[in-house]
Amino acid sequence: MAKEVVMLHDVSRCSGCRACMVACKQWHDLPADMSTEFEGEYQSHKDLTSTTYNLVKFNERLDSKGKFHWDIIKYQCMHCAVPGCAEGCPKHAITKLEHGPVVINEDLCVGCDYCSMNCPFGIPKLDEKKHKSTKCDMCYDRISEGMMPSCAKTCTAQAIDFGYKDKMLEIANKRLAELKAEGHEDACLYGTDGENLTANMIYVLPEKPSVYGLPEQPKVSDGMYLWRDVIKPIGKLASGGALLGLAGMMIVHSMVKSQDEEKNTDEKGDHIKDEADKE
Amino acid sequence: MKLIKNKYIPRHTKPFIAFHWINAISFMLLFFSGLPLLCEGFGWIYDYLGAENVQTFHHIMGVIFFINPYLGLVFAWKGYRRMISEVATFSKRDLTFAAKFGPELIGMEVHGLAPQGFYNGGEKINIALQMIACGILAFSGMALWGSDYFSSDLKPWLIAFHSICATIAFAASLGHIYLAVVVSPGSVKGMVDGSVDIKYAKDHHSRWLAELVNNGEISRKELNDALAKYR
Repeated sequence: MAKEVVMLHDVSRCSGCRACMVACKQWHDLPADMSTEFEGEYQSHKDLTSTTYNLVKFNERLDSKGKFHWDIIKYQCMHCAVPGCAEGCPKHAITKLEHGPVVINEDLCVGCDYCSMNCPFGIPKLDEKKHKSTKCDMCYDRISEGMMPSCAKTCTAQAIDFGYKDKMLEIANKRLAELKAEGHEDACLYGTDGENLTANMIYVLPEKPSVYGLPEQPKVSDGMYLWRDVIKPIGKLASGGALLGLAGMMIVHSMVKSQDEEKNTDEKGDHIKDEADKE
Repeated sequence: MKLIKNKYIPRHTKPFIAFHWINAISFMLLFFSGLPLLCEGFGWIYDYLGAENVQTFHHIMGVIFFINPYLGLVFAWKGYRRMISEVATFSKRDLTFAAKFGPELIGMEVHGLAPQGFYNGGEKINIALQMIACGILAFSGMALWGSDYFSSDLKPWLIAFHSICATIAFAASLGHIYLAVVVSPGSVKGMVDGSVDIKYAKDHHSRWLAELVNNGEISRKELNDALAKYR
């Protein structure tokens, strides 16, 4: 098995310079996205878009003492260990690669948007022009050439790191211990418990995940598994079975009818007459 | 009401027939344009026509399918009222009929079936089933289309309900078509020009005929004269 790779974002080190956003656009050759109007905030876009795979969020918050905080986080695909997008893709167009990245195959994608609906984070976005779903691919093409993802490569504050699982977990645990020592009581890791990965994108967070708009317990919906494992197979069986069954009945029906006609051509007329009289 | 050509008796009104066929055709087009996402074997529909075109078509048909029952409610009120009141009065007799009906599916005659009204027990079950399935389909479909307005936790469940209802409605409609075309072809005319053969009505819906006579809508003489031709 290929060695697993992990992307690490240490939120406590992020300065919000957005160089990672630019690097992402440059490597993926994505156009500027001017869809968000300026509303007096530092955050550039409201959410990820089909041409923005990586967004530095600037959440504004007042803490219990009335002190202002900017909770800055690099928001993107988590490359989940069990990715809802891939599990529920009707065309099997999304693959969890052995070493970690979750990648959309555009040739197979039909733009149904199920991946976005099945993602606990709602990450994939539909590109209206191409009619394909898009999201961060962890620069799997760069990785395969031995390079870092473009965002990690460009990060000026060493907030984004990238490497093999063991090394990244070691760094994450060390940074977490430092944060706790500095008095960040709620500091935590996200995407890992410090040993095992639930995602190949992990965060070091000084505050609770909800502060950064991340779900505390991200979970792939049971509705998706119900659809995939129960309804899809039963649906095929029922529709196919109904077609076959009716075709069979039709043959038997025509046989029975032709027999009947031979047998009682005369009787039938009387039978109807009797019924009519009864009424 | 008078018999047409002394032989046919009006069963469905023109607007109700229009409602039925718009519902039927849009459902089938919706089913097959949605099928590539439910069944891998139908991927060729996307391949030949283009996934985006098929999805846009599904949306347009969806609007027609969604609006049609409301238009029916206004323009085909008579048939609608009949349909709803018949389903609402589903009784043990209907259940017995549906349970005993089986052998007729393969052309055997079942004797001692209880005489049936405007709709028989099987039709009532089919109508109720389609009303529920189509209702869920229409609303879950609209919710999925405008899914930005709904909680993200809900969306995978909407896909699940949409798919299961599509399957149920399709299987039921196959049975419906089979019963109409193969088992009792006399009924088809009722959904084409609206009238059915008096003998078909006598054989399959005798309680409805009795009801028409009792209400004085047709005279007993007229009915007997028409039936006499089959003797």
